[in-house]
Amino acid sequence: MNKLILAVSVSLTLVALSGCTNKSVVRYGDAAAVETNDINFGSTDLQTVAGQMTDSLLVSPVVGTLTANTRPIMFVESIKNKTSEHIDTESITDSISTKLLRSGKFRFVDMGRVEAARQQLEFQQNSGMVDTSKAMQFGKQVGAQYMLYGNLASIVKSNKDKSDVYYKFTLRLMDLESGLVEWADETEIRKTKEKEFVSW
Amino acid sequence: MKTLLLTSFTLLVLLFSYSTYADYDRNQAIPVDKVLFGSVISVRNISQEELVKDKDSGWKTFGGALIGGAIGNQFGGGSGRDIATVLGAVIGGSIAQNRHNQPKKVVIRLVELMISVTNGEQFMVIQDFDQQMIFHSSDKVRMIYLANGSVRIDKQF
Repeated sequence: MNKLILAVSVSLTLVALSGCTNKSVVRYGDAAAVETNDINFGSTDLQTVAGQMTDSLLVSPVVGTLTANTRPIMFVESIKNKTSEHIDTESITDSISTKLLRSGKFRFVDMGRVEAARQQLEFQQNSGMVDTSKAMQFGKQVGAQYMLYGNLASIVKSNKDKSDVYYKFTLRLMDLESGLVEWADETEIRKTKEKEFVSW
Repeated sequence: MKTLLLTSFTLLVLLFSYSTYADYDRNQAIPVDKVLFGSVISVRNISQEELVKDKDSGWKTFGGALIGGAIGNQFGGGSGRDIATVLGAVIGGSIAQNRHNQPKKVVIRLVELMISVTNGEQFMVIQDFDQQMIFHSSDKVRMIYLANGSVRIDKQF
């Protein structure tokens, strides 16, 4: 009896402990590899959206005209996330603005760093630690001419065997002086997940 | 051997009694009716007490009796061991039953948020407190009307 109880309890303990064994392994992977871990918005979707939007904007005839003789100054308004997911939309706009900057056709003002820039100018002007003749002056910043804005929406349908997610990312470029939308485009992504009844 | 047995039971009890639950799965694609954007005017952490009657008391009594019996079985010899086993089972079962027969008081942590959306309307939303997402006044938020009829507040990035 004793041996039986002991054997059962020790076995149960070993089984329970083996379930908790941490066997994590760290590996480097391809950052551009297609990620299909789940149906939710992932890195591949972010790269697709940013890549397609940037290409579309750069090859647009309207933008070609705008950037023919000058490098227009833009600012990026935050992307409105209309999905159920907590998606880092700032990361999408970061990717788009970085690609546009690297194209050499646009310049950007970063509204997210206005306070930090103001503090630095105040330090240069008022701290007494910086040569005032060489300090950066207030009121010399250049305002943005165009605003890049958009939204990300999704439609989700699912039943017990299949889930379908449709993402639509819309981006627009507005002339801040005239209020005209000079360019717009949208990218669609459809992802489906089906139960596989036979797998090897 | 008694020590080994007791250690095994203790480990088992600890392993199965410890569990954690995520409050919200915010990275899940689920149907949405609409999303409003706004900011937090005020945040108030509140709690709600609920009396919950344990539905699994039968199983827990049985488990208590089993463990008590097994421990009691380790003591004494001959008929003394049988008595110790029965006593252990009775005591174990009784402790388990007494612990789980009474309604349990469960404190649910909630957060009450006053939200002002971009069209000027104000909403009061009460949702589960989520350690992963702590709200502060003037935080930019999204008010998500899910297709299942519930509303959830998320921070904007």
